[in-house]
Amino acid sequence: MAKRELISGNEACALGALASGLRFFGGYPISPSSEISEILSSRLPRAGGVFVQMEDEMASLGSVIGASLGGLRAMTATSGPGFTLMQEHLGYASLAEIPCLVVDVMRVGPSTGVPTAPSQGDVMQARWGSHGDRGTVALSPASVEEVYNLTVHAFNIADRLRTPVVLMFDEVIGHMREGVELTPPAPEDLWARPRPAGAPGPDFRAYAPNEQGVAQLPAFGDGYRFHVTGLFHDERGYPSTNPDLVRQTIERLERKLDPIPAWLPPEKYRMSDADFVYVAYGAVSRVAREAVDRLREQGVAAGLYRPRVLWPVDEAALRKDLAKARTVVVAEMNRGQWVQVVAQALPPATHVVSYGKTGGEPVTTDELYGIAADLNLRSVKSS
Amino acid sequence: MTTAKELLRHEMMPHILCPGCGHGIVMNAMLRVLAKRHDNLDQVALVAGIGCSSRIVGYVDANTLHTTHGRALTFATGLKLARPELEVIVVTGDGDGLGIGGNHLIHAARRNVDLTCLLFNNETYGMTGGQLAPTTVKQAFTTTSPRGNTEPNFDAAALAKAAGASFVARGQAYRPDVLEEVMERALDHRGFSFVEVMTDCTEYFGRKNALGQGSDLLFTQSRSDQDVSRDLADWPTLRTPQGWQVRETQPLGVLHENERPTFEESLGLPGYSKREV
Amino acid sequence: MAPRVPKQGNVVVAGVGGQGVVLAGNIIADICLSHGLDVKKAEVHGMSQRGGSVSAQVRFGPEVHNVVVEQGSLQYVLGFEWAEALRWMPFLAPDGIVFASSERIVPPAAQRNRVGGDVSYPLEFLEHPGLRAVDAESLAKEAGNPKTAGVVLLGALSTELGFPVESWRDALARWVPKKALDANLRAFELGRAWKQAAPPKDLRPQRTLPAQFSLKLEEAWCKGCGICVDVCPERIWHLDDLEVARAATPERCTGCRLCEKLCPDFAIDVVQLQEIDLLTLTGGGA
Ligand SMILES: Cc1ncc(C[n+]2csc(CCOP(=O)(O)OP(=O)(O)O)c2C)c(N)n1
Ligand code: SF4
Ligand code: SF4
Ligand code: SF4
Ligand SMILES: [Mg+2]
Repeated sequence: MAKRELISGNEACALGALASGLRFFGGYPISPSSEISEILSSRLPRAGGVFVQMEDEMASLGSVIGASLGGLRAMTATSGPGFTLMQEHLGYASLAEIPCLVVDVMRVGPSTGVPTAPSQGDVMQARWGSHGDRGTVALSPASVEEVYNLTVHAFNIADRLRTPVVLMFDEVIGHMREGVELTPPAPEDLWARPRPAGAPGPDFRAYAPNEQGVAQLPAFGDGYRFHVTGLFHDERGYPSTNPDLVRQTIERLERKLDPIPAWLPPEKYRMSDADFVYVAYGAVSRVAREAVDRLREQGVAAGLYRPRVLWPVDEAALRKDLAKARTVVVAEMNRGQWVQVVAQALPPATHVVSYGKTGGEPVTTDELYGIAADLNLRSVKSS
Repeated sequence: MTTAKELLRHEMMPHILCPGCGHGIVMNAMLRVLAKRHDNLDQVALVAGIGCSSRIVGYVDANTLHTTHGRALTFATGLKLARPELEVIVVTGDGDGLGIGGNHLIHAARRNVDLTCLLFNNETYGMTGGQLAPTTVKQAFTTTSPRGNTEPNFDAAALAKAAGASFVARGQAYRPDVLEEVMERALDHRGFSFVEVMTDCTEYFGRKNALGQGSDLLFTQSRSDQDVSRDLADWPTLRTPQGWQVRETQPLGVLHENERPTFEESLGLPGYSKREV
Repeated sequence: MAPRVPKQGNVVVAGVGGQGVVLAGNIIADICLSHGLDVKKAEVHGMSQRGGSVSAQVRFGPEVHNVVVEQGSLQYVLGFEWAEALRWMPFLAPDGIVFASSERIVPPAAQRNRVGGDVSYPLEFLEHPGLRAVDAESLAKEAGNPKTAGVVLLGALSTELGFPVESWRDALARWVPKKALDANLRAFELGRAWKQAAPPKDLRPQRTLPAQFSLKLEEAWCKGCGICVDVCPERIWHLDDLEVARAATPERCTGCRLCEKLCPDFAIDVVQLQEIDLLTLTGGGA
């Protein structure tokens, strides 16, 4: 059915969104994400949706949250500077539990930085960019096909757990073209939002969590009348400063994200006996895979551990997955962000090395292979 | 017939506003207008930013959305495009709508989204303690203009008109009937309707400028021809570094109205016709 | 039978801002002028906004010096608003006639020169033989433009005051914007027809119902701001020792609802105990 097509990561993102039932896009142009807007500006209205170019990124995510509250699957796409402007609304969507998707095609920062060059510098921003304590969701695809599939997953997670989801990939993935066969999700693969519990009326509680700890808001206009606020609130949505309620809400909002890493397990390449492991995501993971193959040819028990979910982290699973590794090289296009997660999760005996590359040039296989040599791995030297 | 009071969330009352805060009077007028138009507010959404004024939406038994500082119009735009059949009203303050959110105001006006935006202008940032706002008149005292404001202030209505709002009006807390009338007409209008409502912060602006509190402050909005006969000593005055100055009143009523395609119409949204006007 | 042109007389048009009181005064004055009479017109304005008291006094005759109508000499009152019409009753000559619209407009807060309601007027006013209540609002709607209520009253007046009916129509054409003229002429005819349809005794209010209101206070919501205390024209409210509003003389309430509308805290409910429907007070007419 599906035929092989040569398409880019950004295109795949737009197509994945359409296949997921996207009905609203509000965005603001920024390299290297603009193609997503451009494609959706023509295809989304044809699919019965609304495309609006807003006046800035705060407006973009604001409009997306508004549309989502109207019951639509809604998204925006941006890059570092715009992602920074969206942080307040990401926090809002977390606390108010409004599903939405933010795509961040990463470029070199800070500030305007190098607008066209790849980076993975927003990983910590995705985690801690908004003020306060909040659980965050960030998915990281490493191929064009995976951009498509994770876009679908991102919407599913957003809707089922009523949370903002960030799909982040570097400029290399966004602009890379691959011949791919995209398989649209079957209707049963599209997850719905939790249904509101109870009938409209004075006893209705929009923010009463279900067993998964997820609020069960209806859409505005569906005959329920309720309050949505960025203030901490009780089950009706009414503002509250009760310290117990605030603490419990923060914990619940973080805990409800727990199932995500298991839904999208990491890719483990030649990991069964690996004692030398690259941890990499996005474009870097593609070269790391080649470095693994080269090291294996040298007799090194190398492997690649590629997380597809950067946030939240299941530390216990990470520890278990990397239990056999004696050396772990975390390679990223930044000064070492996700390496902090790995270092914290692994026991002190494991040698964790950060290979962080900035400057806007992609990491190469030679570089990663070279690190192994620099680390004086016996088997590499002996060859 | 529904009454304003019946549209309140009684379990939330009394509201948080200070005694005599003008915002409560404006809210009262808004609910009377809504009560005239609707049996219940199932199909009405109130979208607000952050500020004392914006807090009022939480007390109304409607679909209420209390967003972030200055951004209510953006949420409202998304919501309205997703649910064109809803009557969407944006409640914003002068700091919210003209300071941090000024950019969104001009763009919503330009697009002519079918929203009704009520801007509660109390010439100050009430919620944060009465600081200087982009609407504070020259020479007025605020907590961040201790020697009198030196900046010129925005004329919100003129700004909205220049940006393309297809309906612009001004009302006052002091004249609730005029206010009700302009609000009704704003809601009837198809397209972006902007209503600047002059109201007062008794807690800060009133105090700082010796305008009095409660009804005294409210009556300072009354400067009009009929007051000319009153003793000058009775005139509403604003304490300024140069002495006392009469509090100016801007023209009230509908200031501008025209028909042009709404954003929804331009997009050809199917649900739009569902809303009878 | 050609109507006789009156030699001298006076008319007061009374209403609130926005009703076209001044325009109606101008039309009457213009007709007098067109018949060679000397005319003086005085205007009292409140606000340019809706709701303030506005009146126009027109005196005409061979030679007129004083612009102001004296007490007890007023021949005709056109009351565009019920309470404003009653305000002129003390000026009325014993055989004077009042055409008063039964519409009541609640004064907005600014209009401290107006009192709402009618109970503050002595009963004699309502029993005055010259008082005629007109449902001008409905007739204006029938004419196709609710803003023509004043012209309905002009129509009624035209049957009493004299001057050929063409003079009235011509004056309307001179003063009314072209696109609104048709509706205004229809309103004028409806006013004439209303007056001619019923004998004068049926045009009078037949009974009076005192307005009755009860004042309810949501104590827990009152924050004691004192606004109700100061805005009530009847001075009904005061604050008690706990700074909660109390109605001392609720029976004096005229139902103007200023307190209810200006309470920032939704604490006051003005409940009307009895429908006072002025239309039931009017006999006859259309
Ligand atoms: C991004 C951000 N900056 C600042 C604030 C603090 N803040 C809260 S309300 C407010 C001013 C509100 O003023 P206005 O809109 O005039 O409302 P008022 O309280 O006067 O009704 C400010 C500055 C905030 N909440 N968010
Ligand atoms: S601080 Fe000012 S604006 Fe805020 S509630 Fe009090 S009086 Fe009203
Ligand atoms: S206006 Fe309302 S809150 Fe203020 S004193 Fe009167 S009843 Fe109380
Ligand atoms: S109590 Fe209220 S309604 Fe009655 S007269 Fe006074 S202000 Fe008017
Ligand atoms: Mg303000």
